[in-house]
Amino acid sequence: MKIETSRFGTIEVSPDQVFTFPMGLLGFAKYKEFVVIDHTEDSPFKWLQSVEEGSLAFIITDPLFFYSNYQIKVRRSELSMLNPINEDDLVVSVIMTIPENPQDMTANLLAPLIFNMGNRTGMQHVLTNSNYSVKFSVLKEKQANPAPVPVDGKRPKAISLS
Amino acid sequence: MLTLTRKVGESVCIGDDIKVVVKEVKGKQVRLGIIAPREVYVCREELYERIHRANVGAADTNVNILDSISGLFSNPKTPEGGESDED
Repeated sequence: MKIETSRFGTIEVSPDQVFTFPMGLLGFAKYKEFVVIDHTEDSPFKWLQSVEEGSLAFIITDPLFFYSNYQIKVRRSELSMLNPINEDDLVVSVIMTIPENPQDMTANLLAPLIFNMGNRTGMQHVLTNSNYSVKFSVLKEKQANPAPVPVDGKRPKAISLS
Repeated sequence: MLTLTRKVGESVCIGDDIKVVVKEVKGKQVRLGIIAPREVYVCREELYERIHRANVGAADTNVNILDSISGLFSNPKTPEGGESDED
């Protein structure tokens, strides 16, 4: 199918690339379907493009890319929207805000996106009892350091279920 | 705004699916229990406002911005392409 977007022109996506967000994103509840678009092949950043609204897109990235200790603990019941869940299928991304001066870029660590690659669903999960910041300054905070590149090819996980 | 008076243990229904129960009143604090469909975000207003603002700010990003920052980062592996790359 074709999507008219304001940033990328007309793009062709196959239905099996679409992620369904049953709750939408907070503040954008009516948009439920998104596709992930690579920026460039080697960029850590990707675009989360709305299928339903061509002008709506977010920059997302793996939080471990800049914050090696980022870890969220989530109760299985909080992710019931993504059922059925195989823990290995869960992937965490965070939404970036990149202003005109990119040095001021921030990441929303308090409300990460959780993708279930098993059934291509996703949700924005609000961490209700957490000290993580909504505007974590990626280039300025001293905790910010990238996770080491795995030697055995196994990526560390930013999420654990309880 | 609709204002209702309720006692501890009593509830307010919002539509067919949402129920707010007064659990406890202690001085100036009220504990509420909320029953809502799982598709509905339920959180404290301050938190909702912060995340809402962050999302709205993040949605307004120019397509060229990523080109301008490509020099700031190297290129580690990231998740989330068209395919799952889980082990």
